[in-house]
Amino acid sequence: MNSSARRLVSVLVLVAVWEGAVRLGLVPAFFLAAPSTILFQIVKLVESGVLPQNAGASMIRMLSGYLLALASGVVVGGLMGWFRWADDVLDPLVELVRPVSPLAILPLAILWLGIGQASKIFVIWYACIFPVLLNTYAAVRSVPKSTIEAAWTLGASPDEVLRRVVFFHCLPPIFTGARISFAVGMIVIIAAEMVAADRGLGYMILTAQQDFQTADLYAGIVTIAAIGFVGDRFIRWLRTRICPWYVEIEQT
Amino acid sequence: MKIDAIGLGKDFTLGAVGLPVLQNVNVSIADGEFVCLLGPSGCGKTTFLRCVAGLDQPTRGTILLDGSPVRGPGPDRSMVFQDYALFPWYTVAQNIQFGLTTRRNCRRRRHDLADVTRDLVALVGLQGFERAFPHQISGGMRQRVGIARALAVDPGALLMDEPFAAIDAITREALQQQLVDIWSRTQKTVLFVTHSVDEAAYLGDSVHVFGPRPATIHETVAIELPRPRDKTSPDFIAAVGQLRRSIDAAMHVANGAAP
Repeated sequence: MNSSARRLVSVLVLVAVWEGAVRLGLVPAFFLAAPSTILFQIVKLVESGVLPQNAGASMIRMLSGYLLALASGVVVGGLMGWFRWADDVLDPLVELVRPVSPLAILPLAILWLGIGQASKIFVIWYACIFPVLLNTYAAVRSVPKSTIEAAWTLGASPDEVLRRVVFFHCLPPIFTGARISFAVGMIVIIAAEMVAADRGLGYMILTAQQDFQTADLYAGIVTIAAIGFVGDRFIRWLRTRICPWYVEIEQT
Repeated sequence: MKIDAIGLGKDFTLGAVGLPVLQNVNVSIADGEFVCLLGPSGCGKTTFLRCVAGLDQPTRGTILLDGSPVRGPGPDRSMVFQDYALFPWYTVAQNIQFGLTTRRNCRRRRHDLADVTRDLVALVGLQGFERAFPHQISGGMRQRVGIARALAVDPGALLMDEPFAAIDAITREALQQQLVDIWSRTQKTVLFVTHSVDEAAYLGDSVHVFGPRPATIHETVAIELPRPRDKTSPDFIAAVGQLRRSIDAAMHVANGAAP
């Protein structure tokens, strides 16, 4: 049995045990909805438009904050890695702010930016920027000296060293940061929507629980898992396309 | 390219203290000459090479390239590194083309680029590997990419910093032969740093023997053997013996001076 077959088997066994436990009445359906029920409920919620609407609202917020975080994290991390002065000025700020939970920032964000989209996008940005920033920073710092010197002795100018050496060296770690940030963003958007939103997957799950709609609750959770999984796969696929040399290293 | 070092000295700073690494190095290297810099590890011969490359600034003295002083690194003195220093994200062909595609050097037209690349790939014997990434090929092949990449910019001098030190002995011998072959075809000035007596005797027109730190050139030994050299011939063995005695003497002088 090869690796991908083993992966499939572990998922199928989990689903089968889960389904069996509910069908045999070992666990009340009120606590645990059967996979078949969840699937059925997802189809129903998709058809009624409830799920697409809520998932769409979550993803728009999430992706806005996430993409802003990627862009600014790469720029700030790159500056801190490349310029000593930027490191001196920004590092204390980053280290002071980073341990503060994004959810602790949310009330503040609402105070500043109101209850609308902006406050949630801000919190996602705040949660997502650090993994990208720190990965970029560490990557810039770890460019082998001899690689840069090789570029110099071949006649590269400083901006060519940056574009053709440092940038490529940093790409794979930036993708690693992007994967971590995506997972963090998914966690934070759901939590933020539970606190302050009238739409979104977090809101949907919370109201389903309050209304004792267990199947809806599970449908929401499964949707979150699916989005997280697909998103991570997409980022990894993008990395193999953009960094072919790095994929090869991973496989050997 | 003709290279002259006059009264060259270099200190490394350890805290407030200056630690001399090179002391009063005077060399004159003729155009097209194959020169080996031989000495124990950490003696400063690599520092000397890096000063010629423009990667390190000398503390004292000057280096003249065809009569004008070194001003930073440049493609007129391309370098081959011990750790290859290839660009992992570029293929073999892209690595070789790097120096030809910098803004400073991109006057070559595109079909030229393909021609030059094909010739260089053939020169170092890497046909069929143009599209491979560096991590997919062996250490010996990587260093051949390093040599082709350095030759691509058509430098006046090729600076080689222990380029075969990390390569197994059998591959190293093959690379030494290939290097002599390439050198005799291109007639570049070559500065070759090594701590292998055998390698220096095989490659060099002349061998500058460095003593231990602070290093200076203890003796310059001319190797006047016809090429290709036969490592098993009595003349070659005699040359190796001469270099060994010179290194022993250099170490002895230093030990006498610093008890």
